[in-house]
Amino acid sequence: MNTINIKPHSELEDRLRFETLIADLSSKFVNLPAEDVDREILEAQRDICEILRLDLSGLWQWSEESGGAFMLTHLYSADESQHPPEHMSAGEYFPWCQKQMLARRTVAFSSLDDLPIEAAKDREASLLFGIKSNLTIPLSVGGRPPIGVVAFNTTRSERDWPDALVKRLQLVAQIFANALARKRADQDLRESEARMAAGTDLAGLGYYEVDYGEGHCFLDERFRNICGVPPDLQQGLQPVEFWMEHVHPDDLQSILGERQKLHDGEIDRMSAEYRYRHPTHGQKWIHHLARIAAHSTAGQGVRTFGVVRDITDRKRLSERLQSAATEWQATFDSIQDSVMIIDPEYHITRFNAATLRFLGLPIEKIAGSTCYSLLHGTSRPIEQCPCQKTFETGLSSKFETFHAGSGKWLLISTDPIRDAAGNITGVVHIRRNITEAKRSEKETQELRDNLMHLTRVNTVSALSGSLAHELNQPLSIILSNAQAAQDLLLQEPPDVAEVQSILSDIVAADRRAGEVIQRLRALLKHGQVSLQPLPLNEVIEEVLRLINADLIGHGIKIVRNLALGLPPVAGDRVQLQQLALNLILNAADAMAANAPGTRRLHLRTMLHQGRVHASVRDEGVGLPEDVERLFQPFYTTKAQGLGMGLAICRSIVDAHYGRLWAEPHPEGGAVFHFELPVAGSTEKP
Amino acid sequence: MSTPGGVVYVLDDEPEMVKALTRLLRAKRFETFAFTSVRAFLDACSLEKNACLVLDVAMPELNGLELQRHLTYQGILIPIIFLTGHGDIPMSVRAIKAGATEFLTKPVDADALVQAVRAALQIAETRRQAASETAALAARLASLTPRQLEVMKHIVAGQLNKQVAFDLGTGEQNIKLHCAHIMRKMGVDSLADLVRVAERLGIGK
Repeated sequence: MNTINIKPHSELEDRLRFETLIADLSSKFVNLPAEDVDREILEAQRDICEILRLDLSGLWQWSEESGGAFMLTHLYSADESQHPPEHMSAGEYFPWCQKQMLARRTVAFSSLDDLPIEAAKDREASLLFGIKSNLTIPLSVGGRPPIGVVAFNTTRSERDWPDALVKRLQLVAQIFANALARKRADQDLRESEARMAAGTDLAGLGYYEVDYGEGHCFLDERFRNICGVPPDLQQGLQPVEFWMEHVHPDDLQSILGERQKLHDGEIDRMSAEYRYRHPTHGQKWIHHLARIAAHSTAGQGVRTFGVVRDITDRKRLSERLQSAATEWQATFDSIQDSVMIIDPEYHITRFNAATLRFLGLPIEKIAGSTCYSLLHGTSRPIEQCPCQKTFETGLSSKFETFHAGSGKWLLISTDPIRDAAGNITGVVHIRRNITEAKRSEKETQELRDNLMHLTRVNTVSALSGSLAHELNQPLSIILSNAQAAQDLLLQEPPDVAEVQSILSDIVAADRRAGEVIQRLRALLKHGQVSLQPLPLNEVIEEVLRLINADLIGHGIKIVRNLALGLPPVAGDRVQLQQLALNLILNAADAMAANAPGTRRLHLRTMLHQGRVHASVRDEGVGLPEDVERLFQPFYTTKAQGLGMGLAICRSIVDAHYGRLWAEPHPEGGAVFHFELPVAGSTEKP
Repeated sequence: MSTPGGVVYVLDDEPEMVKALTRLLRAKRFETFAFTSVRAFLDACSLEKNACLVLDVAMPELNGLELQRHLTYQGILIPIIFLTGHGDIPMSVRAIKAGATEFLTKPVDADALVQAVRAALQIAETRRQAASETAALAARLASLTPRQLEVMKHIVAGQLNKQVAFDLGTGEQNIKLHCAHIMRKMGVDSLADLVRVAERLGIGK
């Protein structure tokens, strides 16, 4: 039927030929392979046009990709010179008609004049393509939206579309619609098969089928690789036997048990992970999925299919993760402090063994409970809740608190946990029992105080000469004055004015003696450190007054270079006196062997980088090589020395947040420096 | 016990101490002068007067022992009473050896002080008398002619007239005449007295 036959036919003859064509088409399209559908549609279009003396037939298919429009896919034209534009869209050229098609209405017009007014665009396009009459039928399957449209046209003359003809052509349209729908389904199926193949490729799955009834199996290439099945092993169920031989003996029984359940229909799907001894690659881990393809009717066995996957790497990783997690938990549990991880709703999400011991509750009572209900018995976070503070500010917090109920000192700290984006996802809450530490800290403090007291007593006894002088001076003044007064009162007449002057001098001297005793008592006092603003120069002068006689007795000349207008330091008067005293006495001792007149002791104070800096310089024997050793307890160069003086000095300076160090002076002798923060400065550790 | 005449110098770096001591000594009828610095004392002290010094051992400018040395070196032989807060034995020994009259520990009792001052002034008086005798002898010595002084040096050295005459290239009779003049001018009656005077004046060996 490839040649065009133009000889005239009778109407009846045409009708018969058309009926035959429809019958041919319907039988031909039933089992038409998908790839032949397009060709046969084009052929049918041509045959129909020839028999019915039509000039043009177009088939359009719905395309989502083209923005939702019918696109011309099949065209027959009697005039072979005529070519439609590429990617012709019905929506663009025949919008009214497309609308009718979407409503699944057949459109027929014998003349362009029959077109309604709203079809102006369709009319214009018809004129463009020389269409004089038209029949357009939607292609729809099962009442669903049309998958396409088929149109028949005349261009040479107008023609009528009697109902009988329309019905016949609707039948043809139905045949086309079914064929196209089947082709589409076929295409989808192939695509999904291709996708699945690509999927198994990607997932690294090995595929197999076993027909226990027929006694044969199929393995794909990847299955052979994963399980190491030799390529020549194909006969019957040999590959299955090979597989069973290589499953790790410890895992085999449970796998076979699972398989039996699958075969018996107890489970509809088997999923197992097991060790497999690959003949060349050694031990592997395999994940195996299996399903029933068909149950045999004869009870001869089943047909199954499934996939295997090599999960050795994943398994190793998860083992490592597991062991890391175990290690983490063990570490977590070995911490003696209670550690809890708290989420933003204040639920305890993780906690360690110490927490369990401390709360004394079963695990299930702790996990997921709110911290405030367990710790404080409240229904919401307490005021001053450190977790709340950390959640709100994102800052860590740390504080000590005394728990009266248990008599324990606790150190509570909270630290935020952040995700990669920096958001706070939780808080680590650590509760440390510091009762013991507190106690030993107190003991240490007491020990230190005792030691300081001891060295003070030592210093005082070393100073007794000076102190005797300090006390003797006012006492002598008092005695001499008093005895003078006795004489004056015996005179005739008594010199009362002079006696009055004497008495006021006696009072002053007595006060002075009192002050000496006061200073002595302060020095011996056993007390807490209280930092008060103190003028350092004044402290130094007080000490110099105290030991003046001693220094003179030893031929020591004091060279003062004390800066005026120094800001006060934050200090404890007694301790700073002790510091200055020790340093000055050390400097004096260092010059004991010097020739008289070369025993100069230089005292200097100044403001240096916002701190008060003081130095005590001697012209004596100098320093040992390892200067730091000087500050260690019980290090001494003196026969009667306790070796505590400089260690005490160091601890005093430390308690004042200052710094104490020694260095040799370029002109000989040693310089001891100390630096203290200015009172009121924020300088603190 | 009679109170010898003379002045008491009080030197201590502490004004209150000086004031009290001065009051006491004045009440005991001593003529007293107070000083709080060594310089002021050195400027004011007079060698003409009969005097003693009450001195604090421990002073910042110059300690008592150093001052004592300094005074001795300058030939100021003033008796010193040391006052100390804590008189240790080595220090007192050194002071006494260097000529300190007394070493008193503070607080010092008025009687002890008065006694020490009296003793010191007594010493000063004795020294002054000795010094004035020596000064008179020195004046006599100055009246000798050069030849007479020459002869006297030989005689007090223990030489016989004959030896002296030989050494000086003259006759024995001439030496006898010189001797009579010398003894008259020096106010002595015997050769033994002349030798003692020469010794006091530092003549001869």
